[in-house]
Amino acid sequence: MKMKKMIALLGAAAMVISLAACGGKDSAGGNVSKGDTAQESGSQEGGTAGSGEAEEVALHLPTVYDLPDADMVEAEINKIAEEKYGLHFNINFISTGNWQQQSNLLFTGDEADVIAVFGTPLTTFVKNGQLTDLTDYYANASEEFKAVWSAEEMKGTTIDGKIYAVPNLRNFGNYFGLNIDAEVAAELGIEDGQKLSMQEVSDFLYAAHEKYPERYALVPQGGTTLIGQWSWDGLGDERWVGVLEDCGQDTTVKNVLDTDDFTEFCTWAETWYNNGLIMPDILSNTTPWQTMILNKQAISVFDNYGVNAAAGCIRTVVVDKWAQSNSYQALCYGINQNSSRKDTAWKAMEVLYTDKEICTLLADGIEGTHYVVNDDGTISFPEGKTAADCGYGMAEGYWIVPYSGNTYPLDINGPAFFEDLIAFNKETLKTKAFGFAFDTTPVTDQYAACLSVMDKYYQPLMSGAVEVESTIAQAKSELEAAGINEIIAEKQKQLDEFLSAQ
Amino acid sequence: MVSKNKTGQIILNIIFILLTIAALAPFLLLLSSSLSSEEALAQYGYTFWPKSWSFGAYAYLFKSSMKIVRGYGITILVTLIGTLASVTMTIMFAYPLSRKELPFRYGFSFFVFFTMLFNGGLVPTYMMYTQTFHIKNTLWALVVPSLLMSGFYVIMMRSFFTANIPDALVEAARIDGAGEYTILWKIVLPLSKPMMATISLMAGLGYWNDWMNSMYYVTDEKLYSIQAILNTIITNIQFLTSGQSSAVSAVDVAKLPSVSARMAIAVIGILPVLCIYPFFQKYFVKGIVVGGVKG
Repeated sequence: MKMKKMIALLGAAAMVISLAACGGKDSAGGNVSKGDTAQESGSQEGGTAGSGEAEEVALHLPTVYDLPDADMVEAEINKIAEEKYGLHFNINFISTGNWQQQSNLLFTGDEADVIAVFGTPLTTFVKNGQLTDLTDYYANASEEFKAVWSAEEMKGTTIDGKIYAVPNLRNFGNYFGLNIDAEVAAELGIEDGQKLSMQEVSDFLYAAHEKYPERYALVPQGGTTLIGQWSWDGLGDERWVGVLEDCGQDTTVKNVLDTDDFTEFCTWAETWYNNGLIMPDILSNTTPWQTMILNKQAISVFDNYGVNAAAGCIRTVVVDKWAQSNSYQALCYGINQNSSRKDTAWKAMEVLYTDKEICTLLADGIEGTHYVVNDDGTISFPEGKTAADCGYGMAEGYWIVPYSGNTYPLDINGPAFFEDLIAFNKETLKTKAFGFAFDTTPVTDQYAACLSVMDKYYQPLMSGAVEVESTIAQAKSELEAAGINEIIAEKQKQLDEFLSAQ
Repeated sequence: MVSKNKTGQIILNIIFILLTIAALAPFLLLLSSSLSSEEALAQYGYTFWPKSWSFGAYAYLFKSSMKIVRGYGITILVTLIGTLASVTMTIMFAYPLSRKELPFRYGFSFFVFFTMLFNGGLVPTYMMYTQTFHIKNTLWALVVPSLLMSGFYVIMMRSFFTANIPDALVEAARIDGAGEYTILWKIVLPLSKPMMATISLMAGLGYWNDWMNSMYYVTDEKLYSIQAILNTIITNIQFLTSGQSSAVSAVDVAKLPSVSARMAIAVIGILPVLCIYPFFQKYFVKGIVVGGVKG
């Protein structure tokens, strides 16, 4: 009997050991027991051991397309970075669809050093203490770096007087207008960049519908709304609980459903929907407008845009360019609070914004392989290739990489694209609350309740598929019950403090 | 009596035929969309019979996209390794638990039950795997987390052993001079084929359909499994077309994989499972029934 028990025990022990052994094998370096804090280099990516004394830095950024050649580009970047700066970049691209989940996980450890702040609001990370305070780093930054981002512009990513991230170059403001199939626009005499009033938009839609009754005159910009927002500023809140009207020029916080801008837009939408100008199944649509317009299934779409063009379309302006309060924060680069090499990370950050060669490699890939330079200084994808299949299509993602202002513009955007972009950002009308970010903590419960009401009503109202007057009345009563007035009062209070501090 | 039985049979048959159609229709729709041309899909929407045939989506997947082929390979590899390891470990754990002689038997069982009810949550799990075990961006990341061991399988297996392997049999083997390993290998396992097949199929399906591990523990897309690739494409498109962020206005969404391409990925994703399932089915039903009823 004793023997049997012994064997059974041994069996159990063997099982436990085999489990532990499995765990051991899984670790890349094999030394599980020795602290993992002391030696993050080598265990992270491996394969860099031979590169000498270059300091490792991990960069994480989102991507839209597959980048099978990313390793090749990384190697090229490191050739320069190691020699010039003693830095070795580990570049990790994450699909935009997975970004939110993965970036949140990345902040739990020290895997990430320089990381894009995207998808999750900057204020959330700051509130959670997940981002490093960069104020001192910026104060001591090189002149070159400060020339890229002036102290004034850094206010866009400053929260409570501290800089937490560095913006990247993209259009901080947006025109709001109608994109129209280029052929139809030519037939009906509408030109690129033309200013239209809502009445003119409406006239155009009726005319287009009459001429092409089999095509949808107007399709939604995103999922199910005609456009995500119009001329209201959510003060750092993209679900619009308490907004500023009139492109943020009026500093009274209001319920978006109470604003004239919103009611007017929804009323137009309702009329168009009832007259068959908008695709009837808008509330369940999943096809992107680009596909519908290129397939000649649709004619126009409301869109917000900067200086970039849309393939096959002309763009018109209904609301002139303006920037909302959190526009600098929608995509910016910060340093992970858990990073164990923050000084190196900042050094890398400066390189990513100032070194022309590295910026170009990161933004466009390798010359000859991923792009060819044209005579006018623009670049094109190699013949027969597109951003989606050239191996490294980041050139189309100029708005993703930290800095693309010193790189080549893509051919469809024109040779002066980046100069235009920088000028565009300078000229853009900024909301009065520019740089303000709402702290929801004092009204957390009411805010959560209001969000679910907004989610229920905002999209249908912006699609035109529901009756405006009664729906707004119903939504308003539910919002009031959920405590929107307290949120608005709190938002107003914080905004007034912010404005008086300036 | 006989006629009553017949009517019952007919009604039952009709119900089951309807249920079968309800289950098969989406597959037909999927297959048909993957074989439709992109223009037909855009114009007429999804139809049960393609308006115009096109194998373009499949050609695109296997010619221009190494990623799909690699993802397929990774899924197959991970499923094989994972299923084998999972079944082996489940047996190694469940069999001792089923034997009354095992000391601390209830203590060990409690551990299993406990993990069925509670776990550490995503963030601690993530930190454990990435910072202690360093499996991020390795093949292990697809094999080990959450799928390798399941308390549920262990309990099912243990119940099966307790219910179907009489102590007398084990004792008889011992009297004949067999050691513990011989008993397990020559007596117990051959009698447990239905249960092993059931667990293999369930674990295999778990691995085949998994995309969560890829999303959490892998950022290198070369290691993405086929389901993760499909999921990424869909979430990317959803994100880009959501119109939430004004920053993304510059992307030409029309260049992302088309609807028919996505449908084709889904078809090749489920195809192997469809092929394997019939061969496992007889064991599968038996295993579940035996394990469940008597457990």
